[in-house]
Amino acid sequence: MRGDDLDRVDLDLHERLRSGSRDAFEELYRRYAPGAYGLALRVTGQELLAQEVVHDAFMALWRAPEAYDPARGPFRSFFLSLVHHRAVDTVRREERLRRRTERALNLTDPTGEDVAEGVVEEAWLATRRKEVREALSTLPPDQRRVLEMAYFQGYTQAAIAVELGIPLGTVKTRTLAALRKLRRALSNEMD
Amino acid sequence: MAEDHERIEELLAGYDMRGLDGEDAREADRLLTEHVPGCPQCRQTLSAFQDVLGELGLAATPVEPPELLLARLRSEMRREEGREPAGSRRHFAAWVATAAAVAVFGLAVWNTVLNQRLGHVQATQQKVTNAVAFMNEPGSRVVDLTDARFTSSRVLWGYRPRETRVVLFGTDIPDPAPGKVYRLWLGQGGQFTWVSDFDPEDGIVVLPLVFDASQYDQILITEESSSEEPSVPRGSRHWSAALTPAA
Repeated sequence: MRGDDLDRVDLDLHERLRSGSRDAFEELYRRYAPGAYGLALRVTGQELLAQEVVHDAFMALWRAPEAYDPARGPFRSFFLSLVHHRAVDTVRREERLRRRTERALNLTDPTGEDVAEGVVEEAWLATRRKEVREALSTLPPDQRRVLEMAYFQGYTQAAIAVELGIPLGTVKTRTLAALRKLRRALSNEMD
Repeated sequence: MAEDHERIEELLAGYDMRGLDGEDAREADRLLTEHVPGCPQCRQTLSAFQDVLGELGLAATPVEPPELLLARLRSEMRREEGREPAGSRRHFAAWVATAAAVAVFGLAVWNTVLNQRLGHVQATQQKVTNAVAFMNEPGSRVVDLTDARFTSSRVLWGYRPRETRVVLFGTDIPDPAPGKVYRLWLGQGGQFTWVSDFDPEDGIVVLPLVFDASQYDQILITEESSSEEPSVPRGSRHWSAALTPAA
């Protein structure tokens, strides 16, 4: 299945979900729960918290499917953003827990990892995952470090500045530069 | 104007990553209200960053969630459908109805207390509703934890025998001392296993958990230094109760 086809299937599932279809909900769960759980696990570093994040995200989708506007991009981007925001909010609340658990996990490099055992995903999604990781790997190390601390570890920009001992303005500049590069790289991949 | 937009894009990038706080967060809120809606360039930038960050989530390794998670979602969807009219699955009336149902368990006094405290906090309200509904389901059991010092607090442990969903639910919980955290333990034959840490929010604690608690015979909440690894209970002992292991 190609990317466009995948998006069309998602749109169809979302439309059915808006009508209250449980089958559509479960199909979306099958497609995106592993990605959502992997992301939540990476940000929170704790299985129970990650389960809560994914649970809350899917319940939010079930309760208010109209929150996704198809005109604003692919469903997967919307849903993974939803999961990410909830995961970051959770990890901020559980800051002490995060600091402790991240010591036990290898959270330093999100790229180059394989899909966990037992996860079956669409071939195109796997390809897209590879593209995103490759795009990340092309970032200069200082930009990538700032992006990963913010995105995968839930640091605020002010906290990153303190942690890395650099001015807040530098964190902002690196973040913007990194996002612009990723935007270009991922747009090129989609063309 | 180009310089202004560079600054705005920096803020939008931080905003999209949930990375702003303080003055930057306030400035981003103002821009999103006053400037971005009328600026095609900023709207496009915001949308593009949101797409990129959504895709960035793909970089995390997918992991199959526990099977129990889907079962829990199905159960919750059924419960909500049976409780509320379609199209308005989340509203205050459901919360009141559920809280009122708790009276079956002799917990009616919480109704007033929780309504007063949580009427404006929807997310917490939903968690409380879920916890109360869970404890109110047929087959659920509720254990009252006690603490000799904090006698005005109410702490409950809700569980269902032979199932892996449990919930810790408390009200009037004082904040732990600075640098401390509450730590939940389960004991078996005098040996304790760390379960989770928590801080109350406005005196409320709702801690839904998914694991097999059937073999434990004691539940204990201590106040520990937040910087210490959870190995064995060392700090002040607060709420506790005996549990009856499942047959």
